[in-house]
Amino acid sequence: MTQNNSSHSLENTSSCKHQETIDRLRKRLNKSLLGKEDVVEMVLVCLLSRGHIIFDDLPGLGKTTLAKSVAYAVGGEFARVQCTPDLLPSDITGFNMFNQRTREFEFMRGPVFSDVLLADEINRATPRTQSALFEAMAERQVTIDNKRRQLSPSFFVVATQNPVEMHGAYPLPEAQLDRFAMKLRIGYPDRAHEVEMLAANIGVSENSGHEEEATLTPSHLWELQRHVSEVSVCEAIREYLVDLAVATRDHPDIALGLSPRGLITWQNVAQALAHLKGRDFVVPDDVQEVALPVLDLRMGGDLETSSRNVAAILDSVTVPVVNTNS
Amino acid sequence: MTLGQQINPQKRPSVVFIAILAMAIVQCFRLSTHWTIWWGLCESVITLFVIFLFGFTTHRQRDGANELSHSYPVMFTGITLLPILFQFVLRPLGVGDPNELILLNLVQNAAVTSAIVPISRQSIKISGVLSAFLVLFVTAMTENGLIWLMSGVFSAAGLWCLICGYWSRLETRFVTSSSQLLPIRPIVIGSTVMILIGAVAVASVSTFGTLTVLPGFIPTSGGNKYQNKLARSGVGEGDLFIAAQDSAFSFGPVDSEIFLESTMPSLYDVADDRYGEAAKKKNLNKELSRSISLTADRLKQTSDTPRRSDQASRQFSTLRRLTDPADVRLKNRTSSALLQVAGPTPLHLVTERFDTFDGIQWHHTMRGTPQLNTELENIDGKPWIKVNRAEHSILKGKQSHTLKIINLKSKRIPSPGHLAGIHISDVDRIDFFDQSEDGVFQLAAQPSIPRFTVIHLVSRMFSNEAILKLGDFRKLYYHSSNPFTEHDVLQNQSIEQVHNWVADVNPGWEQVCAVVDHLRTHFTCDPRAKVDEASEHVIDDFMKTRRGPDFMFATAAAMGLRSLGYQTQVVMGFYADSRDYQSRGNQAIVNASNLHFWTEVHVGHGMWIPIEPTPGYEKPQGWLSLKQQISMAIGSMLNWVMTNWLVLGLMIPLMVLGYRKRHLLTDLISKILWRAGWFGTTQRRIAWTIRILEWRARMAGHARPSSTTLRKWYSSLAAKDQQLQEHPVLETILNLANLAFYSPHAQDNETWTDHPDLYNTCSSLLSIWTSYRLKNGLTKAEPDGI
Repeated sequence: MTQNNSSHSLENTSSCKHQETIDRLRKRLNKSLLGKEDVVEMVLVCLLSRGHIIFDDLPGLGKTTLAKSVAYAVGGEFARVQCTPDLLPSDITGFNMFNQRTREFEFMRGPVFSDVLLADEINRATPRTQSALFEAMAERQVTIDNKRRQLSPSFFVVATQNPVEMHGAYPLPEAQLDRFAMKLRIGYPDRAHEVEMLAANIGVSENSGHEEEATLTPSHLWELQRHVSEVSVCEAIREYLVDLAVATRDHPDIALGLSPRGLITWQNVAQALAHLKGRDFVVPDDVQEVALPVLDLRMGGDLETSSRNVAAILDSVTVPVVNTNS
Repeated sequence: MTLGQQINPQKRPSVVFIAILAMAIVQCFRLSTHWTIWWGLCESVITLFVIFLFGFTTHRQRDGANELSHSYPVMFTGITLLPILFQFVLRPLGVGDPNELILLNLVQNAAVTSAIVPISRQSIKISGVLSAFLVLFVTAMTENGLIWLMSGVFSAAGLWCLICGYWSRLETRFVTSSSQLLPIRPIVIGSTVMILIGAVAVASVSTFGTLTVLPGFIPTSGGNKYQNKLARSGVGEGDLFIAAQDSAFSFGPVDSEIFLESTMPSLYDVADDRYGEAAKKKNLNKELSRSISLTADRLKQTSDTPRRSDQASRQFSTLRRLTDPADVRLKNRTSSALLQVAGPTPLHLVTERFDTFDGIQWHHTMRGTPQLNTELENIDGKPWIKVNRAEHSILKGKQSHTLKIINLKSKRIPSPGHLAGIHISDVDRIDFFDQSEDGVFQLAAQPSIPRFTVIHLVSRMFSNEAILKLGDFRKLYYHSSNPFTEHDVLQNQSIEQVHNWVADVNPGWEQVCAVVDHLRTHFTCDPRAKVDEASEHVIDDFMKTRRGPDFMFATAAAMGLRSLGYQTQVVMGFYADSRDYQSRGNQAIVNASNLHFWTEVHVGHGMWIPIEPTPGYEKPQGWLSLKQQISMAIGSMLNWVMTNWLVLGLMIPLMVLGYRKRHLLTDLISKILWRAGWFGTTQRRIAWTIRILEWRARMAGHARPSSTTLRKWYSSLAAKDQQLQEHPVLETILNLANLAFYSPHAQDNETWTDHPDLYNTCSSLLSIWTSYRLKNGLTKAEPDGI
């Protein structure tokens, strides 16, 4: 049984106009990445919760396509950085360059000053460059020559890393990974969608997303993000989230439990998911649904291990069924 | 048949509850009068089962249509008349009902059936009226506290229904939609509970008697200044409760010492109470003796034999004049217990033995009873009076009992036949005890055993096998003529009759058993059997009529066995019945009704073995080997099964049926509970519905893991059943549950304005998501946990 959001009886409790926009956005992204509705849903969750995504998957599965589609759909500026060992922090953040004509230093903006940034193969950049990017992701600002510069309010990073060919790569440390909201794995599409993809010639033209008008503007996205932050989380759900966090810390197979920052991120993405489903309050299903991508990022290991650990953690905590305040 | 006015579905469960409560009150009244609980439960369960089955089938047949089956009147009448049908089964078993109770049961069945299977709105009203009538009638007829308490609950429930019905009518007539902000039902329930708690508190700080004489509370006729001629109870006799000065019929406390005399009954008082006073037989010779002076030679002749006054001075006449039984209503008794017995029962406790029978009376002649040696022995630091008996293979094993003398005025210690030791706390002098002339231990210097004295007794048991091995033990008798063999009071016809009983039986213990068994099986024990006071041959009459009290059985057995050459004596004592055993105090209560007569047979070597010729009393328990104990336990179990075959025959199929249909029962009960709990805020109602759903799933073996959300679990269950999957009500309820449990706006009335048909939605869910469907539709494929 699936939830039919369009016929959801509780639509009146949320903003209908936002739902229409989100439905259009979802439809557009699903069109660009066939057969991966769950991944698209999580991307939307991250987008609305102001979190960043890291895709941990093999090349050629649609990571860049999806990131570009998000950028075109949002209607903002898109930038792409191909991370290599010789990439400097200033290549990410920007730098001051002396203008001979005006005899002044002019700031040359780096790709972080876009609305959607695709950092391809982030684990191939040096830790120094990674740190510069992570500072921008966490604080949504960069400091160059002692001057602080604000990034776009809807700044959204989609990073990718290749789980194979680790030679010459710089694995991201756990503290840095915590800056992302989720780790997503796209995986291969099923046979039917691959056939459909071939028939539609998706991905042949790099600029295919440009042809359509943007679904929403950055300001509109900011408005949606503000609404998400207002989604209610009742006391019982907050207790539930803390219990789950404690369970990750007590789990014998998990070296590093969930940090408070990770816990806040978990609540934020649960709020975003609730909003996507047309509710203005979070339910335990929301928390459980985003548990795997949120915890997978922070616990490390392969997908199978992560799934097993997350299932064990969810199994160990009782779901709050009745609101004690009622 | 067309339905009348539309039945209000919200009102029905309340009326069902009230009707069943009234039924419970009627059955409690019935049990408090005469019934055993098992029969009552059995009949009630069957009745309810039939009514619910009728309701279930009718509901299925109706299936939403406004039509009822034409068999409805027949079924309704049949169920109403069910109590009469039960009587055809129960009366032959001796557990039937009087006619007025049958009528009450008829009304009860009509009320319950009208509530559970109503034909129209009027049926529900009639059910309520009938229930109220039943409760009023029963409450007026009894003073049972439990029934009064249940009546109070009934009143509260009835009031609750009336108030709710009133508010429901207002809601439907004046407003299109409303939110019940005022929790009326909880207030009513709370008030009722507070009143009940207050009543219980008042009752707990005062005795019931004090409560009933509170001025104006209940009309009373005495005990204080307030009197009312309409009183139905009071303290003492009310107006008649005055000093016994003016009238002989009056009674009350006076300064006279006459009332200070002990009321403890002696053994003879107990015997007189139980069997009636001994009838004085008109004796022609005695009357002649008044007019004819005795000659010297005759005087000499009579002085050769012991005079009656020189005899034991203890005697028992088999000719009793029956008196009306004393008023034995429980409330008139203070304490009827003569003594309490802790230890194995049944137990025959000897208080007196008689060896000489003159045709009417039993006496003891002080001949032939050996006096046993005793010595003081310290066992585990406690002084025991050890009774030295000659060791013989007949005596095997020991058993111990503890007696507590409560209300018996006698110096004799009631004790088992082969007493081996006596211990009374702190009594360490052997001269404190002695033996009576008939071999019963007694307190030497005391007029009677002080009240509440605890006496520990150890006695030997006898082995039936060893006695059988003795063969014809008559040859062991060394007194050719002694009082134990006199049987000339029996007529030849009776003697011949006894000889016929043992015609083909080996002499010895087998003959004794044959006589006993014949008396137990062919004679009837009747304590109220009349005896012709003019009869010269009381025992012979008994042998002809085959009916009489226990002392006649004992006498007949003794005389019959004597006619066969066996030495016998009759014993008076107490029979501690295993049926009087109280598990709470781990003891058996012995009162005047336990006074009993039996017989002892001399098997040689000075050993007297008790036999029990009276039917209804268990035979004295001999020593048993482990194998015999096991076989006896199995035999007892089989006997119990055979005795209670009807109850088992009804209960086992019912239990099997109940187990097989447990999911249907779960659905039925949970639906009633759901309706009963349908009050309070919308949040609470939704939560209650979810709880019922969870309970059903648990009963069906699909309990939701605590770590799985409602949506995940029930969606996965629904995926296994086509109908559940297609029905949209689950999705609606889950959304409502999320809204009720986690939304900050759940307590706002505006939140629920979109759901005016919440009752029907929840009801629809419980109609679809039944325990029966969950069990039978999903068993093959278990849902995934997460």
